Amino acid sequence: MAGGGGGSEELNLVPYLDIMVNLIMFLITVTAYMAEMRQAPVLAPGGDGGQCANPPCEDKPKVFLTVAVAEKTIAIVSSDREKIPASQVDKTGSEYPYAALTAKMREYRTNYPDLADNVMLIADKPIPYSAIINTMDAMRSDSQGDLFPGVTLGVAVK
Amino acid sequence: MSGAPPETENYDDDDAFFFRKRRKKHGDAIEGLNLTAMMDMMTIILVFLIKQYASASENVPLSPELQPPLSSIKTEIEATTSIFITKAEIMVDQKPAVELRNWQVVSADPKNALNPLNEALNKRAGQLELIEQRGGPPFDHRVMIVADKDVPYELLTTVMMASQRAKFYDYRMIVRLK
Repeated sequence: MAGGGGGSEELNLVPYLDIMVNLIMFLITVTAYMAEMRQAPVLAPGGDGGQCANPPCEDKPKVFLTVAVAEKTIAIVSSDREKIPASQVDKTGSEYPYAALTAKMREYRTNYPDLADNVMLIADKPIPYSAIINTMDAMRSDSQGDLFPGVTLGVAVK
Repeated sequence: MSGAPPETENYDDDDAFFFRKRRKKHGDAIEGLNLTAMMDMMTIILVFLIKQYASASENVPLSPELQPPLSSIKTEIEATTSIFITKAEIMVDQKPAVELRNWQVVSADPKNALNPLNEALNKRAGQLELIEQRGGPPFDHRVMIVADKDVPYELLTTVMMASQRAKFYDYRMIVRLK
């Protein structure tokens, strides 16, 4: 065999090692700068005010809150307006008052413990997605515990 | 041979072996570093990192056109069918379905502008149902929506309604951890 008769020359591993080191450094760097992603579960609206998503549940739906995000205010209304009063928090400056919304939701949770855990969330057409997510965050929990962890996104029917 | 006694005369056998080895190393030049063990280690680390990177379910390709909003929610991502809404297009499982301009669907036929999206979602739902029929995992009707933070609510709900028509009604909104 050509070249087979030579001595036991070792393979030069240094270039291979260089490639390996570069790849490892690249992967470590990419992993370090990768944004941590999470998921927020959201239900589709059903025919029961959002308390039961598809497939519809059998039990009678509870009284639930609807939170409507408009350009200048966030309004809260319940499905039983006679028993549970509506309220709203107004925008101050360019930001929605999420802390005030959390406080308001805590009031509802404390005063009306039978309210459903799910909230129907609707918004005006141009409201950005970030405002929806921030509203969901504000309604989900506070320092005392869970408020309304479930969200059903509502849509206007043509 | 019969001259001076060996230096290791007063040591036990292990110590004698150790000193012999040291003397040899001091005396000889190092001809070449043996890199084989290091190569083994590097290969294992590389395979581990590549596997970790590839299997990360939160491996969502971010770009200036796709910046999901920040949230404090802690729920980990479960990989499933995905819909991406960027500033330029809507993708189903990372395949472009419709083009967007100023958050409006670009189409020669405005009445049926969302047809390509509906078709892509129906096709994906059909695949998942077929997998279920052939004994695979059940179709869980889940879809993760990865949308840019500036997507207007109208477009978001339009996409959600389209996915609902294709039997994807359990939404997972993908956000960046604050």
